[in-house]
Amino acid sequence: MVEVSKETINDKQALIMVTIFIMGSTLIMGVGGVAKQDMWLAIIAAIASAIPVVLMYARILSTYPGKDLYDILQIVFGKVVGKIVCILYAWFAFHLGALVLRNYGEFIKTAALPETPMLVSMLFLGGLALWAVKAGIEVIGRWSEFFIFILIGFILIIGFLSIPLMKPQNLLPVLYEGVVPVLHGTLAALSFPFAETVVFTLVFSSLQTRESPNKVLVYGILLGGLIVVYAALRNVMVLGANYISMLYFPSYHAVSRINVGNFLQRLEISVVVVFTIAGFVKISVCLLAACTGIAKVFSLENHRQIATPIALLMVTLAYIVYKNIMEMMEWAFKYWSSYALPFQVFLPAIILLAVEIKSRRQKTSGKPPAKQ
Amino acid sequence: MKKTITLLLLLGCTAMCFGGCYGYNELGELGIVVVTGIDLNEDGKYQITVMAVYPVGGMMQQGEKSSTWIGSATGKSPMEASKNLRKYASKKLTWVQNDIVIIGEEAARAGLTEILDFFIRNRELRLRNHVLVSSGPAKDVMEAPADIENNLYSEMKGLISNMDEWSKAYVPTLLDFAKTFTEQDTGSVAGHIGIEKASGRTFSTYRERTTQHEGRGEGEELSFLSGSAVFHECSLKGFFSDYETRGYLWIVNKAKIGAVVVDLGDSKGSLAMETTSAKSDVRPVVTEDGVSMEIKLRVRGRVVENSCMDDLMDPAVIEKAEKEFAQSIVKEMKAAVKKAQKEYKADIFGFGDAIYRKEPDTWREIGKEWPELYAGIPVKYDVQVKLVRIGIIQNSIKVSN
Repeated sequence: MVEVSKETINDKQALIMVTIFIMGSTLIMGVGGVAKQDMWLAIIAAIASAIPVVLMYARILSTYPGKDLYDILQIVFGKVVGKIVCILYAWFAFHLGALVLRNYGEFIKTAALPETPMLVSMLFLGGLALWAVKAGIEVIGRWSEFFIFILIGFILIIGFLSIPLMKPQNLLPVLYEGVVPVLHGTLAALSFPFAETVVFTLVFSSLQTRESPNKVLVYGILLGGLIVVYAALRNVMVLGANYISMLYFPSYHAVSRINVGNFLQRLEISVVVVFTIAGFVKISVCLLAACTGIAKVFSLENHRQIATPIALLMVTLAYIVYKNIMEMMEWAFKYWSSYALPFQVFLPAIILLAVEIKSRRQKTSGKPPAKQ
Repeated sequence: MKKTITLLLLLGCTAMCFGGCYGYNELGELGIVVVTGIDLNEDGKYQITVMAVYPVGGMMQQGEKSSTWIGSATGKSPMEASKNLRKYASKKLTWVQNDIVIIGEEAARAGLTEILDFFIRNRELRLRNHVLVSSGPAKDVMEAPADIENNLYSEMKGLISNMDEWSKAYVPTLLDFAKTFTEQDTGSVAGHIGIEKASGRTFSTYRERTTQHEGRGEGEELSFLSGSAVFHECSLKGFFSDYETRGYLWIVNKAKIGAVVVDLGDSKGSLAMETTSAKSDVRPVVTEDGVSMEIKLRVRGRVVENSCMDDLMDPAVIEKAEKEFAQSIVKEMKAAVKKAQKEYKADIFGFGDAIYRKEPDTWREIGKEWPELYAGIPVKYDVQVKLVRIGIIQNSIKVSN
């Protein structure tokens, strides 16, 4: 297999991609709702517990520089078992992309365009993601690098404008129900969105140095986590935890409260913009991961050949995956962690173990470790 | 050739951008609902009344053509009633600009669950709407003629924006109103709108028409905004008078500007203060005897009227006046607390919520029986008034005998 020219992205772009990926659907769906007014604690705990997890991903990646998880799986587990696990991961990325696409569709349908069929908005974003994937990870990276300023700008402006609406006493009492709901919230927030960064192990084959995965993933999680914590704090302080539990899209409501001098109002559309940008990056990365995976499993020349059918399938899956929005929320908040954690924590742990054993064995048997 | 094809394709692509026109609404086809009223009729059917503004363009058309439309329809639920409005409406009704929600007294007494759900669940209606309760049917209030503005909506909007200037009326937004229902056994407060006979209360003239209309007729009705409506467990319990409303607003830290008048000492006459700022803090005090609430209020104000002959330049007089004002404010607060505790049993001040947030351990014990406990909770008042200015003259003009 001849790689024509290796695509590389620099650390800054990769870091920004991770940040936007984490903001993705989290900013509008909200996380850690079970912890009520302590959701910010749950999210901080989730960030703390996500760091060892992403260090694990980084360790796997940096043992085999220039390879992504698909290659590593085939090196470590051999062709047959490796390919089976590859297919699982490709499915995970594909499914995740479809779910995010569906979130986007539902949100646009509920909040902005109630009369437009959901398929239309999903098709357009899916088409855009397809274009990005065909252009390659370099383009997605550069695109993210440019649009992060718009995102941060919106978030800062909205943040300042919401200050007068915030009631800090909404955060009290701390830990009223005890630690258990916070732990539940932590688990939920770990699986959505922080450990979803496992998808990046499927596409980051082309980082600058061996230390890059470490740096990129950890700082990306911290930066993205900061924004997610901020959003949670703002929502609770503006709306109150009880009211949030009634809402599907709390951020949208929190921002709609902003009213400056009766002329600066209806800013909720900024939430739609932020979600569209962030969701686009998340969907593109997932699509890229899924296409790369399938290309690697079936030994295709590159992922671009199958990008179109996979993207169309993703839109279709997004369209049929839930019957209604209630089902979507039930899945996202009740079942997602049990479905996703095997991919996010358990499988990577096994892979890391195998990687370590393999590289030790190679060292003792005198051969140099694979591609230092 | 290739260029031409590319160009044509690009042109075709631009056409896709106009997909945004899907589901478009022309301004001229819209009836923009600005006020929505809901009543519960005797037969158990909801009646919805809307005031819609029809955009009228150009000076030529304006003239005598009416631009406001009031429609009314009934149905089994608020939603059905609002759909039934189409029986009479000639324009496409849209609620996105709706600003005022008026709930009729009967409907409010019967319970708000259905109405509130209808308003919050729908995407078209913004949560920034103002919530009012009318004494009598909402429909009657909405059919009152406007006083000086073009339509009743502008009139109500003006009344609402003026509420901060005297702090004896309170109108919450839909979100604030709905939020109180999610808190710990909290009562809720909405605005109160009513109508009274015009009989010379206000008088507005249109210079050209002064000759035709000599003011308003005796029988004509005039809308006013004053006081507030108190809810407990989703149904209306009663109305607060304007003084009680201000007592409530002092406690929940929402009173801003208002006039307080006291008779000062033995000299005949009164002293009036306009408050410029007020800050309150409600905190629970837990002792062995049980829970009590402490309300701390700090008011700053200036003298705006002085008909007593005391020497305002004397610090002792000012100190005495400050005490009198504080007493008068405490009286207002007491009136509000008493009515809410004893008569309505509605925890509109958020006492329960304050205990839950600041003394969670106590709340764990008493939270379940809070509704019964609430009526007996002792309240302590700590009010301090500071007079910082006395206007642009020093002492009053002394009228010599």
